[in-house]
Amino acid sequence: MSTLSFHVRFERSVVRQYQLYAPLSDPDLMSLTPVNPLQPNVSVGRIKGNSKGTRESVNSGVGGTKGSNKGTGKVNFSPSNLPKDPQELVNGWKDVTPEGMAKNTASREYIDPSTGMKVRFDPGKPGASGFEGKDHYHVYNPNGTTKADYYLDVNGNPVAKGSKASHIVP
Amino acid sequence: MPDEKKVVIKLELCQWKQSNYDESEPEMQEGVLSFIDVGSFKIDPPSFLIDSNEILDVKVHDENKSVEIILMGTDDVGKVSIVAQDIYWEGC
Repeated sequence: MSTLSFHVRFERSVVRQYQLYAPLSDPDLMSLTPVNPLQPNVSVGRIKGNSKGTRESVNSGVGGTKGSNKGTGKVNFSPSNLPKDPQELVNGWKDVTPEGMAKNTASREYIDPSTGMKVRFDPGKPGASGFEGKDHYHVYNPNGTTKADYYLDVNGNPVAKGSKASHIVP
Repeated sequence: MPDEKKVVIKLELCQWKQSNYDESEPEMQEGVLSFIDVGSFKIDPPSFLIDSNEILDVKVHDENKSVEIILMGTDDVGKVSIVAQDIYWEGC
């Protein structure tokens, strides 16, 4: 690969499955083949039909007012009034960012133990356009069971993984 | 092609994030990301389950010609690392 740069933005896209095609006799690649009985979509040494469509090389070059609990000093946040600075969540909220996420990304997860509301804060990336360039939250749907209702939108309605509405800009 | 070393990742692309996105189109588009002539393919942790995982980040390392895809998992993230000669995106 001479220059690796993506024309296509893959962040927040949803990976459904993968397949590895390799000669069965290739010890190097085979040794790297993940063996997981829970992954029925992994196949080795066999090529599945290609999908149709255009082929593009990717190798080249809501805010609101904060509600408050009077008397407790604690601010109650909802999808529509998350703070611009996630540090404001510290009061009563717990940072529950998994180790791998903390190590590999700038995203952070917080939970309000009193309500069970769990959010992920994704800081904007300098120079990026759209939501990628803006600090934003994702609010996990406590009742979500599929990728179609995994998050809540700014109004508290279930929305899908990867959807525009799942990105909540404070 | 018995000698082909290829990794194919089927995903739903956030079409709305692309620079050429037209609001009249669906937000998501199914497609296939193909890594051709793969020299290395690793998932960390090896037990990480691929099942409609969101891509949190994509890191391209020019120095060793590798691509790292950070995926959201049930309990923590997973990292897919691939070294390949070529990469293609093909929309369905």
